[in-house]
Amino acid sequence: MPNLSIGEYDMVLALSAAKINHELKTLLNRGVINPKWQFLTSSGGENILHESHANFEQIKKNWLGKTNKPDDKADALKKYAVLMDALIDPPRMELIADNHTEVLFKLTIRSGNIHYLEGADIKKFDVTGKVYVFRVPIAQIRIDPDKMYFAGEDAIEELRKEGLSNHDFTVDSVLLNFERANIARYIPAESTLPTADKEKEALQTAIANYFKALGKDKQNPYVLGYALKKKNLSGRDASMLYATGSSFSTTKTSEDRLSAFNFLMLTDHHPFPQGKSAGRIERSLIESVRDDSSTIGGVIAVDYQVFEQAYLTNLHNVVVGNFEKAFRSHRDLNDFYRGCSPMGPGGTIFIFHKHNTFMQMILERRHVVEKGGLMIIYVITVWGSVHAEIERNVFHFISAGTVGVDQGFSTSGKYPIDNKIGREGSLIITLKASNEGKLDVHADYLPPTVGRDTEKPQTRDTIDAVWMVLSNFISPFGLIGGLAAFLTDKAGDSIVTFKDYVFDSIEFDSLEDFSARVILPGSNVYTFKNVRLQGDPHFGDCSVQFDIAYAIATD
Amino acid sequence: MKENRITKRNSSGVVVSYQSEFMQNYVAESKIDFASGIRSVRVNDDKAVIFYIDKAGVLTMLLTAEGLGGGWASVQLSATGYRATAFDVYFLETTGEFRVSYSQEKNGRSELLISEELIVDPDNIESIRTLQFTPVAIPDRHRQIDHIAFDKRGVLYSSRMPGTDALYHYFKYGNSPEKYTLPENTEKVKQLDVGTVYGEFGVFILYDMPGSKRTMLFQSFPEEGDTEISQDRIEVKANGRTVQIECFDLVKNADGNDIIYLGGEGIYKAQTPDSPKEVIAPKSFHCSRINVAVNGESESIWALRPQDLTLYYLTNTYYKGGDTDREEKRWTAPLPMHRGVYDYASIKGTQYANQLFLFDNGGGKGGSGLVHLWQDSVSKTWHEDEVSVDNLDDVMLINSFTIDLNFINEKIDNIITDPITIQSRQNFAIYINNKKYQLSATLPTELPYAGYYNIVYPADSIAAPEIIISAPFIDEAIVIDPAAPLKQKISTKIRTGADLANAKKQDGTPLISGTYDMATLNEAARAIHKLSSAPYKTKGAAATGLAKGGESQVIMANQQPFETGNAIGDFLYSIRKGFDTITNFAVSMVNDTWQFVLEFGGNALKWIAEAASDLMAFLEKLLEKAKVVFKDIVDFLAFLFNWDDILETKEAIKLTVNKVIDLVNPKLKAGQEFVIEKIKELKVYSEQLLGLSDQQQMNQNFSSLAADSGSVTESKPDTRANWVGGKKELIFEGKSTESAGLDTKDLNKLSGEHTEPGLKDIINAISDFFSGRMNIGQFVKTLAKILVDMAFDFIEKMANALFEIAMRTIEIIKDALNAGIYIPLISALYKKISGADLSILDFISLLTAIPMTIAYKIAHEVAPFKHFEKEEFALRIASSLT
Repeated sequence: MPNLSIGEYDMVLALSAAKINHELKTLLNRGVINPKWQFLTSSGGENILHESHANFEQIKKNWLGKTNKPDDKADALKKYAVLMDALIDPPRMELIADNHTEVLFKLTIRSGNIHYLEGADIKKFDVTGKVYVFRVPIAQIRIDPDKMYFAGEDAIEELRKEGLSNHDFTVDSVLLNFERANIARYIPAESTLPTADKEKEALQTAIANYFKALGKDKQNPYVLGYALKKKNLSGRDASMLYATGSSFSTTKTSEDRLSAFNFLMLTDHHPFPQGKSAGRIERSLIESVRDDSSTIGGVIAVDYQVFEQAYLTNLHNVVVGNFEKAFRSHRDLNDFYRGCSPMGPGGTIFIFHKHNTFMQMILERRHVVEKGGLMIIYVITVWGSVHAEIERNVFHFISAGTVGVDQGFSTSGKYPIDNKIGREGSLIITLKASNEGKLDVHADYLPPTVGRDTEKPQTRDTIDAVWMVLSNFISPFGLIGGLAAFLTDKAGDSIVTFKDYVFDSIEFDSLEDFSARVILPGSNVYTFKNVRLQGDPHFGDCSVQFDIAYAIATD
Repeated sequence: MKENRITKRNSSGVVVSYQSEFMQNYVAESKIDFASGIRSVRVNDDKAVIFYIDKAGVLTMLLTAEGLGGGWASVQLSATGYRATAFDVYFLETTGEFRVSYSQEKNGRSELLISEELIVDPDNIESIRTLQFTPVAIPDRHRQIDHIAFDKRGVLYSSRMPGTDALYHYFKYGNSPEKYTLPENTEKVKQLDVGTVYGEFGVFILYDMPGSKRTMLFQSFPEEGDTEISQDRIEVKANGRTVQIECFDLVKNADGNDIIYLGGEGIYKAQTPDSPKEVIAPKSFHCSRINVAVNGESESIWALRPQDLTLYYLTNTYYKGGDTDREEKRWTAPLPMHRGVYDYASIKGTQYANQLFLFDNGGGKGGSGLVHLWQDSVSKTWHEDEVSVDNLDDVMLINSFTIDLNFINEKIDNIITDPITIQSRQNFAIYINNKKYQLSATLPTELPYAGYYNIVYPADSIAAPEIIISAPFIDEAIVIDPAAPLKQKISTKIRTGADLANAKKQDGTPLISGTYDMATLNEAARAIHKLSSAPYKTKGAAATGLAKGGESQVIMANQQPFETGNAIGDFLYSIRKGFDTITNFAVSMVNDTWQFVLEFGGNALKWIAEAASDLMAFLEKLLEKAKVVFKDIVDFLAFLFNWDDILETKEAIKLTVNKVIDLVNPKLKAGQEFVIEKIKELKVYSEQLLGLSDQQQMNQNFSSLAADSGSVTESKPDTRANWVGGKKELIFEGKSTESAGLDTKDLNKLSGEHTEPGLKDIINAISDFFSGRMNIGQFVKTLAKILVDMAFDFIEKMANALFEIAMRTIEIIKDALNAGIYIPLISALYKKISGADLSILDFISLLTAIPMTIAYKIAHEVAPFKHFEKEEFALRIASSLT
């Protein structure tokens, strides 16, 4: 059943639009994005010369006619039609109401000029305070282990020779699809442009060609790809919830902080959802943050079923492994424990058999609730029986054959064995958000205890029963005494009397190892806290969510 | 006995004489209680103000008491009855802006207080004393405040409460604190500080994430018009693994951004959170705390190794081959400097290249006080002492070179008004007339002219820098090498290895305990004797002007490159602290100067003596090689106060006086003349007995003790015997002398009843003293008029007077003489040595007993009352009266 609350995707990382704009500002302030827009460009963008070019200053002079060599000037004029010389403000990304597949990109020019060629003349105008806004469509990406593609209707275009990388979760990578944006098509209502058509055109040419040039740089297929010096991100292990497909959408709300840019992710090569609701997230996931301070910049949500399949199943296997290891390694149990078999999702039956004793222990994941983290509640029930052939002596010395008796015992047995009556055991595993995209796993184990189901052993058939009653009458201590002898028999002692260590000696140390596994993607970019359950696992639209902070870990 | 005294006549008619003694001494100061948390801020180049939380949980501030010549003074900042939990200090050197904030807790409720902003004049930091604190309204007072950090803009603090996520809070001055969270669910912040990254103001936080992994984060504060913040994770990778960070320190760069220093598995430096990390110390070097001190381009890092609480020193002033002329900006390897350190703070300055304040575990003998470790920028040598605060109610024993310096003006008509100047070859703290002064190698300290200066030179080494005295009325500067007499003593006592092996400390125990290698002893003793008996020949050893110290050169020995970049002083201190052992040494004379070579850890250190103290420093290394450390030298050769002997003498005098009073019977007035005669005879007898007929050897008399320093005209006795004289400022000029415990009613009445002038004056003086109308100085001056000089005269006068009065009143006088009084330093000292409270009679007897005993011992090498019983002594005098 598709999870509509997360746009029918398996995972969604919803990042606050306000946070993205803050990061764009930071990138500019820290000089990662160059605020200086100085370049010469031809009208069609075939030729573009940036200020980083060694001869830029000279060619610029030539172009402006500040040279005594007419040839140089002619050359320059032949190649370039517009000179932009400006400083930009931090660019902004704005979401569009009722449109989750496009964003507006807003470029404000702090100060500067544009020169353009009009006929043989060079004209100049001030671009200070001009705002250029255009739409950027946001893409779907399919990821193979070693390739990443745009997964559109058009022919598959390979993006690069590797899967989703660490960098794909950085803000730098948010606006992945500039190449496909029609930058030349500005939005008049949102923009502030020069009134003169020629000037408007020159500005349009400059900006469009600037981005066009960037798009050609396959090294940086990203937004503002200004030779963005990628951070050397700190390495992390591959996450369990590895994305194999990715798309993006937006959710606009009235509050900037709550408006989300959604990284939509598919795991396990699931196909992209189709139809109108695919990728559409009506209620911003950020509205469900637990920590609403500025520390938190978004939410990551994992579909509960995906979480169950990928994580809880694995966790269950580890839990089963712990029990098995304990049963097999215990010297008194190793010829008693016979193996286990699954019992539905989140359930396992452990089977024990030795001589005349049979026992089953059933481990069953009964609830997953939110309580100081995610609490996974297992219930442990045990049932079994002991069979004995008890020799009957009439009047103490005349042998009268044997009587077969069975003593049932279980976790619901009301009659004590070793002063304990039956009680279900439990294993409560609490998951808390840990470091580096991991979940801290803490196990709280209450061992089961067993009691006798009946006060006295039961005979198997009528004759035995009659005989037992009779012989009981004859030898009042015989039967109980005999069973008691069996129960305290050295060989079977530990099994039937359920000495505490049978279930108590379970070590959940491998859960610690499980704590060390990276679960969530983007763990070198984001920090996760406040794990919680959004919705009811028994119904649809349920997800496991975390508050996230954008705290990039670099070497 | 006076062979150590050096006298110089000057054309002005002023005779200068001085004597230096290697001796124990006492200062009226108390140690700093072991405490938690220490911060130091640098004010005015070299001056530090220190803050710490004391044992009782009180935030305390230490500052130099006054001007350049001050010791330390302690100021209580937080309230008694509360427990201070955290504090921070903000001081901007350029503008003098100064603030303190602290948190305190009582009954599980937290409070946060902040001082108003002061503008501190670096030349007059006394104004800091007037700090006023205002409480800040904080939300949720049940949360404990565990860290505070603040700057010009506002205050940051973190809080915790079991079972909840750690929070931090920030407010700009005048606003209410706002709460901020961490990106992870985490209970406790390990360290936090405010700082700036790329112009964004925020907080650096080091904390444990869930899963007990350490992390560090910079998180900015929201700026106007932006709801969002910047977050930068600060991590260091080595060989693909994240390095554990245990601590950090920040230093502002020129742009106002913070340079980040990280410590833990190694030490690293990063210009910004995302910039490459410079490795200062490798990953194998573990530290739990780092403290970075910067002065201009020069940086020092103090790093604490948690395993053994050893403090390491690193500096970016790298001397190539140890040569101070070949300086590079490169980090030295961590050098161990001090063991058992709990907490510390450091500053860098100009005259003191490095200053460090630390609390240590006192070498396993329980926590010591606050230790001040400093490096002189001239010689690069390290020194340490215990920081103590002026406290007339306490007394601290120190090892010292004590110098008695006298100026005797032989031309009566020549009135001297010019001050004298005093200067050291190194930057050093000394006491002059019981006041602490920071002597400087470059800046002379000016003192008003006085006839007598008592200079106490606290010593942690036998290598004491020379001090230079100049004045317009002396022909040439006097260079006093405080250690010269000690050197002479060493030369007399140590000639062979056998001398060392057989030498006994003054308590009778062997100088060298444990096993020793005779060959080493012989070798060391030969060199010790050679060095200590030869006259100093130091390169350019001019009496005037200061030698350029620290220009020692390290050369390669056995072709082994010696490249750690440290100065010689660093090594000598490290070796001294037992972190390295000297394996070999050599001493030679090259071009009339001493040249030393020390070999340790496969390296050889070679240098040329520049000053007398260099020779002593080497001598000390030789003694250390023979397993004789500074403490042993003190026990072996220093003048030690044997208070048991002094107390015996004091008791004898006191007993005598009391017995005289007891036995006087005014009814037998006829015998008065006979009695007085007997006392006089006894005085002569005991003087002969004690060999004290020469008054010059004795202590100054009472009247000169109470007199002004300037009026001293006679030649001076031995420094050791004159110990009381050296303390007279403290004893007699104490501002708040108090007395208590005696009802003066009877004395007043008594005074009214009697007309005998001597007795009346005594009674009035005692009465005035006890009723607080007269301080001790005036009291002694008054008594001195009546009681001429010595205890015997006192006894004589007393006996004489007593014949004049009624039996009843004798008891009153006796009570008055035996009632407890308070005298600065002496009361505390007396309590320490005898466990009893001081009375007038104790005081008078002690003042007599100290020089008497010391002088007697110097002359006879045995204490006076080793020969005869004090009871017998007292009885002979007293019984002669009846």
